[in-house]
Amino acid sequence: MVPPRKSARSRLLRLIAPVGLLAILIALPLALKNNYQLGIAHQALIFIILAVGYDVLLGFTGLLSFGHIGLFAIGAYTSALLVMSTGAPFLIGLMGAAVLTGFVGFLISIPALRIKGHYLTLLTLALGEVIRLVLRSMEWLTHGSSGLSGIPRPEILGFSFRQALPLYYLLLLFAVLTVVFVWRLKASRFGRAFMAIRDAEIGAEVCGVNTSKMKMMAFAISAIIAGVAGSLYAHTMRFISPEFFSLGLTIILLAMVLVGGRGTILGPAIGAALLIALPEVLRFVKEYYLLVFGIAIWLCVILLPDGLAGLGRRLLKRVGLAA
Amino acid sequence: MDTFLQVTLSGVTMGCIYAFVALGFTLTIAAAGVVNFAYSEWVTYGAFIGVTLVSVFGLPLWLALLATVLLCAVMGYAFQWIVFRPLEGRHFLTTVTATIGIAVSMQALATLVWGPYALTLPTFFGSGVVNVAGVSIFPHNILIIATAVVLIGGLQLWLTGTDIGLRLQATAQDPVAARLMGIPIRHMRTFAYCLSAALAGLAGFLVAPLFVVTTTMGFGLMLKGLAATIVGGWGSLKGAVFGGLIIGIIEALGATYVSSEYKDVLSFLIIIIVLLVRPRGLFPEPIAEKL
Amino acid sequence: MNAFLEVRDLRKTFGGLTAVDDVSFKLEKGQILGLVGPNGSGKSTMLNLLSGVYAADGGSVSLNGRSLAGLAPNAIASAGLARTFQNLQIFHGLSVGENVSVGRSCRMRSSVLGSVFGTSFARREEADARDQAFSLLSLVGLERYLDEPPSSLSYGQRRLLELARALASSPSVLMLDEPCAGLSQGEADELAVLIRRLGESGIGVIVIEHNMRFVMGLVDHIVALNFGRKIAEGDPRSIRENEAVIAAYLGRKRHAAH
Repeated sequence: MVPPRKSARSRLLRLIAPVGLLAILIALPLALKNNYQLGIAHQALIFIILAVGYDVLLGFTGLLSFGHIGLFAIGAYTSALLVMSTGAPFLIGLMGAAVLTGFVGFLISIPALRIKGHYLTLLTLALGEVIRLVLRSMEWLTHGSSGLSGIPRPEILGFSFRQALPLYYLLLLFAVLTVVFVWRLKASRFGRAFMAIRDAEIGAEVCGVNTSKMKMMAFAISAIIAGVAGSLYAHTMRFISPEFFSLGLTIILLAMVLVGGRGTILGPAIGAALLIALPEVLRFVKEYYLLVFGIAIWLCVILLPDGLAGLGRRLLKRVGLAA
Repeated sequence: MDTFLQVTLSGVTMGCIYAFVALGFTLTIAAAGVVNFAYSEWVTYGAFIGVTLVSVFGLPLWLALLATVLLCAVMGYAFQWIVFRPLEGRHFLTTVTATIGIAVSMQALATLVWGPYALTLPTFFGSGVVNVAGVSIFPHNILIIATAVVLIGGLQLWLTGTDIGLRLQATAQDPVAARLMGIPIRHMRTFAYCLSAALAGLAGFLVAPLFVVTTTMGFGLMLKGLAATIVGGWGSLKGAVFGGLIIGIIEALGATYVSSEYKDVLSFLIIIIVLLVRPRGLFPEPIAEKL
Repeated sequence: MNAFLEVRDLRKTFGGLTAVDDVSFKLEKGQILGLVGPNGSGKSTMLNLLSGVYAADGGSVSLNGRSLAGLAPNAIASAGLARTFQNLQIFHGLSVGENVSVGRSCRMRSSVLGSVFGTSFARREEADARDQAFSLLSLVGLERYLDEPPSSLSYGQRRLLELARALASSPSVLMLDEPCAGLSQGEADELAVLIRRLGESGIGVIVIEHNMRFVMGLVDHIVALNFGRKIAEGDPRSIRENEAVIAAYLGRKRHAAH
């Protein structure tokens, strides 16, 4: 007996949303009026990459790490320092950031095998802060609180991405690659293993899933993506300092994933775009923004455990467009 | 030797504040399984409410302290209905994120209500020092330590000696069994929330004269309180107290004898080391496992 | 030595309590063995020991001569021992078919990069996994739920899902923890037929069950436990009449025969 093939029509329908979204993103710069707005788009794309990678750990595998921003910082500083002090090309900085951050993520996963639940969350919280404080204190290397400035924009094979518009498309490319990578991961036996660990760890073990190896892999993969995002951040903003990679940013990253919808692929991306763009749109009510933001997070977590992506899927189901 | 005593004494003082914070934070975990990350803002509000009562309403300090503690208890009660009941029994990530959201809002609200500038709260005793056995100490610090001894000693006696105290312990250890025994869980939890908030207000009011009152003061204190709960044992009331004192003393000694720059890192390093070596802390509590 | 699975003097203590006390038995290839005993007799602990969820404090377990001592649960699964759970360990975030495919984890070899880039090996492995999930679900009558979430299954159907998942690794030994719970009489009868067929195909099956009618009509051999010790062993008929077993279940002391 052969299993039913998902009908060609439903496959086409399911591609509409992501392809439509991609088309909008490609055309977006035409709608933006100035370089400042493009800069916001740059940040949104970088955080889309970071949030989607973070969800591999949080949403897929159920590992509540509050230290992810520390990894983001390591990626940023590694890339910036590699390029600025050795004159290496951007791609080397990027790869160096990915490798080193991935390695640190792997190291963090080792205690995570023994330490579970809220203890793991507190451990990673403390580790993230220690990373930031260590970066701040290594003044001879990182210039401490003054930060690193003058980080060059990416240049690949002679083509410079100094201008805002080409940089946007470079970041969009990385964002798309990340989303596709995570999508393929989710559909693979590894994605299934991650989610099995999240849902019923003992069940996963007796099914033959090597939970230790999978957890390390989840940490390493999300760390590598964080390293890439960090590198892109450093070379886009051209200035980084330890103050930026604070606990406050950890909360924002967490909110991006939870509001967007953890365990989904587009959810964290939507959450990231929303939480970067919204403060700009609501700038005129700046003092009240944080007040509303906090309450919105609270309500979202209580009322929408699946986030906006989950809400979207339920609405689409009502209309008959989704499974 | 004098310096050592001096430093230790100031460490004990801050340790008492950390103990209040850790105790209040742990109460809701023990009684209802709710990890309240908005606790830091309760502390901040305690300080700000105290300042307002003294500066704006002109209340004498003793009365302001009492009123602050009572108002905070009321705040705890209100929070129970709006925030905590929907969170009881929910996953750790949900309660943490929800209460973080509340904390962010509360901090923003504080900035709107009291302004972005630091305020001050005077001590009960003026700014002079007192000499006790060759060591100079602020009378206010003596007050803090004395309050801690009375309060914590009283709490210990109350928990183990009275009916209500024992019922509270039963609620914490096994809510299902407690309910089957006829213990009114809802009342016990309400009491825990109010007491938790009252402790926050007390901590905020007492610590305010030592520094300045800002919108971020509660956050810094809660990180120390968090470290204290980990050292002492998550969910353990006894552990919270001992953890707070240990953190306070280590911090003071570390700042004086090692380096004051790395003071911030110290609490985090303690958290990391304890979690790697003995995650369940000094006084492991079985309640904690249900998380 | 034609014993397939050999358990010798297995022992597990928790603090002061000895949950499993020097229990030994053998399982032949294709044999269906019932593990019975009142509540607290150590049946579930036994299953947890065999599947590697608990580490034994003494004794040995070997499958086909190969020792399983000290192996992690996933290594034991790889060696050919699969099990289901009484309290269900369903992966709620995955579809029914994906749940079954997780059971095949120890047999899949594709790498991360291979899966992500879609090499022909990885794609074929995925297609095979999906085909197998479908046929295993057909075996238990759940094939139309292939892409549905587990929440659309009833409790009894979820237990069958666990069974299908356990079969996905092509095990040599299958251990079922209370497989009948939540099933109607008709469903239990169908399950008995299925288990018989599995035995005939060469899989050794250990069944923990309270439903004595189900057990008696199905198994070839019974091992009875009480307070962690083996109190009787034999074919269903002799066990039914065994005094020690009756006493254990009924808790009645009988006078010693004169």
